[in-house]
Amino acid sequence: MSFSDAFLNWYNIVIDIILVLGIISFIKLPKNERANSHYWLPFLILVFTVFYESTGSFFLFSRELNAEINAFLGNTEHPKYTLWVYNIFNIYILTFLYLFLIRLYVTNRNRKIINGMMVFFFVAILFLNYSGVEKVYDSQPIIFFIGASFLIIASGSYFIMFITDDVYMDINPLRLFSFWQMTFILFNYATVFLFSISSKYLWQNYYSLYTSLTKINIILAIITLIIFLMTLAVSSLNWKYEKQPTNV
Amino acid sequence: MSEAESPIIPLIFAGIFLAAIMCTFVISMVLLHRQRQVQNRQKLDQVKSEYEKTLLNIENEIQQETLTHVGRELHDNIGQLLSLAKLNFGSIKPEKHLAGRELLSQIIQEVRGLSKTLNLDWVESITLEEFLKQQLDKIKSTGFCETQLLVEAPIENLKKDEKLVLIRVIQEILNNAIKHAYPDRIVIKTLNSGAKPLIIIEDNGKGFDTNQQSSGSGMTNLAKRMATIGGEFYIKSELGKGTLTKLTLPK
Repeated sequence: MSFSDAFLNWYNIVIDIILVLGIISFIKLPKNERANSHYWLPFLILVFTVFYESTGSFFLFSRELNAEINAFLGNTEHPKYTLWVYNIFNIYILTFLYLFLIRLYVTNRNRKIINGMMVFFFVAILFLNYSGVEKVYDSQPIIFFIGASFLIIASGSYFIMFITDDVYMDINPLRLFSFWQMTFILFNYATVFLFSISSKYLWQNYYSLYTSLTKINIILAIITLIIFLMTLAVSSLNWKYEKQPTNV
Repeated sequence: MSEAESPIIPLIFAGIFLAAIMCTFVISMVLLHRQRQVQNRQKLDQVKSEYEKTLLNIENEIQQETLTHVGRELHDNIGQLLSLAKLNFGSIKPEKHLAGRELLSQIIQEVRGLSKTLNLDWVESITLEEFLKQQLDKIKSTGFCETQLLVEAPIENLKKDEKLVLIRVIQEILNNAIKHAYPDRIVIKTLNSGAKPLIIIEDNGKGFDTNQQSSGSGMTNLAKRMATIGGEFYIKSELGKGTLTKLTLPK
């Protein structure tokens, strides 16, 4: 794959623009807000997502290095695979970052449940990789299933808390960024989850629907990044928004 | 790629379907949230109206008691002093006229004192400790029983309404002790328990079975009144072992 094919596609360009705007917005934030995890964690997720997408593109372009890494991980059969980038960065680290983000917005009881989920997920990753049940350079449906399920449950618990707990009582949900972040994380992972279950069947029988769903997943991922960007940019844009309650 | 294989139509349908589910989800969440906000507002209004009702009842009770007290004072004290003054002024002796003038001054003082009790402004001017001392001194002066006030931490920053409710609750507890418990001694302590002000009223009277009293409205009423100001009411009593009442106030 050439450099332009790897990097100059519409998806990479859009997320790079989002990253640049995100960095500018984060720099423009007041110092105390930059130190607040309600801002720096979405920023970190935004930077990290663009970083791993670019890393994936880089290894599509730099085949020799990718083949060396694949060989180091034990994959000499398919040296072109870049699944290890997706597995390590998207399935492992991004899931942890999202769980940390959801953990910020929920009450103590749910926080403990999310802590438990993170420990379980970490142990599952180590066990499934070291036991050889799933290989880091290959497709990892079990780890993906556990991670996506935990994210759906955790973001679901946010919404249950949102309509039952008094902390969010006086807040307008439409102006609260955590509400939109959780909505898109929930829908993003719910569609990815459903899509991953049915992808093989769709690919064989309904190829056009398969490609449509792939695009929808990409669009949802971009919208999620835009929500993170808006979280950072909203105070500079002087838009009316609700601040995250501090007593959660 | 042929028209039939084009991914645009499934993409549009799948996108619309997903967007519709998301919209339904967001609208449902917002509606549920709004519904809860309305319910909460109704609950707050109800609590507010109960609070106002309790305050009105308390003010009525205090006014009723004040009128009874004023009536008694007019009849037993001022009336007597006026009769005495009349007798003195009716005399031809100049020293009787002087005594009559002194009596008039005393009557004026008494009337001024009474007039102050006719409105509830005294609640604002008096501290809770002063009120407790007045009440205990009044009981002691009748020779009914010994009393003691121990102020470990003064109770400050009470709003007029809160003080009014608290005064009425304390009066009711002391009345109950005098009427039903026949104690030799009543002790009131004010202290801070975990940054919350606390008033403990203890008597060594005959006590009662709290399980039997729980069905009555007296204790429930006192507990409700304390709850309206964000306080707590706790009573512990046993037959023959006296009664201990704890009033915890909001921070």
